[in-house]
Amino acid sequence: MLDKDQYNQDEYNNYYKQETEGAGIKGYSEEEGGFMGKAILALGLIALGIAAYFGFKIFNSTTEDSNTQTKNKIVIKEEEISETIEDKVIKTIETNKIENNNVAISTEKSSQKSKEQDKLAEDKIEKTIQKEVANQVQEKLENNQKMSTQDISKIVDLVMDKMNKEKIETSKTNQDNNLINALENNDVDTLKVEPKKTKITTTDNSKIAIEKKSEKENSYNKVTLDDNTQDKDKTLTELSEQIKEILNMTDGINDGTSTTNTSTSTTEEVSIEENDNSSTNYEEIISQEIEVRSNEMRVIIVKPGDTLNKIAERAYGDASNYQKIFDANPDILNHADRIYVGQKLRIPK
Amino acid sequence: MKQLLILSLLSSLILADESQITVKISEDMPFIYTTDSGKKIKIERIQDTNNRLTDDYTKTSRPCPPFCIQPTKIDPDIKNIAELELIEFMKEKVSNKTGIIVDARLKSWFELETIPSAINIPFPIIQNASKEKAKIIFKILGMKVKADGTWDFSNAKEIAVFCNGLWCEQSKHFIEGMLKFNYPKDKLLYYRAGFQGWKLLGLTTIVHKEIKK
Repeated sequence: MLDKDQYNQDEYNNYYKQETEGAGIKGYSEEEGGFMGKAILALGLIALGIAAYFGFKIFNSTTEDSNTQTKNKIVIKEEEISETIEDKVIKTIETNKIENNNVAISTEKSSQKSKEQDKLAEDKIEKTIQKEVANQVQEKLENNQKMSTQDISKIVDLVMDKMNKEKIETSKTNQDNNLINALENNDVDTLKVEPKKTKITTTDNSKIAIEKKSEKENSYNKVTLDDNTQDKDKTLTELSEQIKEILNMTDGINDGTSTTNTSTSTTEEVSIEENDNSSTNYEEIISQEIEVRSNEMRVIIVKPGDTLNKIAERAYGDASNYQKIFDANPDILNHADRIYVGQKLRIPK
Repeated sequence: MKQLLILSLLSSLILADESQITVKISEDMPFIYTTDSGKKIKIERIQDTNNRLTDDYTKTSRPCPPFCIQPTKIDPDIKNIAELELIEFMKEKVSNKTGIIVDARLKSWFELETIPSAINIPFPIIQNASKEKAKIIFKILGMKVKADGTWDFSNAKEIAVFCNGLWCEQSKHFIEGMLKFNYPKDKLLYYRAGFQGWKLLGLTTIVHKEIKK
């Protein structure tokens, strides 16, 4: 019979033995096992250190990646390329500048003269750029070297710079509404949505309600057609009706095997493939996708007494989700508290 | 004199209407008219230059397969067209009844929203059709059966086919079905950008069955 402390001591020894046996290698004594355990622990620590070092490096690189990649938009950082065409061109420009300045300084007597000299110098630099670029391209081509994408982009940059310089000069006098101006002046991502100048009236304004109701065409350029439209265009409508009949005749869309080829036609015999599983499966999947889309683009018509809160409550079961609806209708709603009867609002999923 | 006044008034109204168009279809085409279900439809682009698509057709990723990026050509002999050619097709071929625009998507897609003047022939109809059914469909499309029983496509309508767009293969299945029954390749046109391309340009669309809550 063991007393309580002794029992605990034995239990402790027992665990200790198991631990060292676990850490050691089978067949080694307890002492050896302890030594091996320590050795493995040390090795483990070293391995952990190495792993942490490499892990840190990988983490750094991934965080860099995450900085440059957002939603498939990859921002390519400019890499330093040793001795590219641009470097060579810049060198040539700089030497030319110095030469031209020297010439200008030594010869200038009046400010007018110096201006002319500057212009001449600029022209000379531009010509040198063109010449140098052409030389470099020629050199590369002669040596059968492939132009790297960086080389090409640098050349394009140089040409664009030149074009921009020219453009700035000409645009001062001629502010024409050409494509380049339109593109440059319309930085779409910085455009602010200007509130529309509309008359704000009460929600129950019946005149607006009537107008909106009769207006089948909304700002999304979506025209809603009534099935009961009179004076239908016969050809197209008839064609459409006939196709619909075919749809009904085929009893849905998967009836491809019901009839055999009984035609008296002498045209080339066409083998009718049996409905395979893959095509049926495809139809099922795209049918499911339409449900997803339906939910994404649900459109509701504002009724008298409706508020965004009430619509949100109906759509999501939570009135506080009204902002979701407000955000989905930027061109219709200017204020979350002003909606009109007859308005068609998109309700996102 | 009165007539002159009315004419000048009308012309000034038309000019005023055209001058309000900021976003034209092309430089010399502000808008066009077509018909759908007997209704005159004005095809124009959304004039709000701040407008962006919100929910529908802004989705970037659906599982592939089946929603895979489609190759440029369905068949080397079938001509691909883009929006302006499709609009031209509407103006010339659809209006004089020598051509139709076919929405090859399933009915549910078509009803939700489609291109004006398009007729829905869901691709499985033709893909899974027997020869007899194909014959019926082709007859509707202007094909004649000669006395000797051969099929004569000389008066068959030109068909511009589209589906959801670059990620949708419903047009491919439709065209393959048509070719299986020897519909002439030169009478088929493929609008690859499809409905998404149409929407992206803010062009007028048609809703046949509005979803109401």
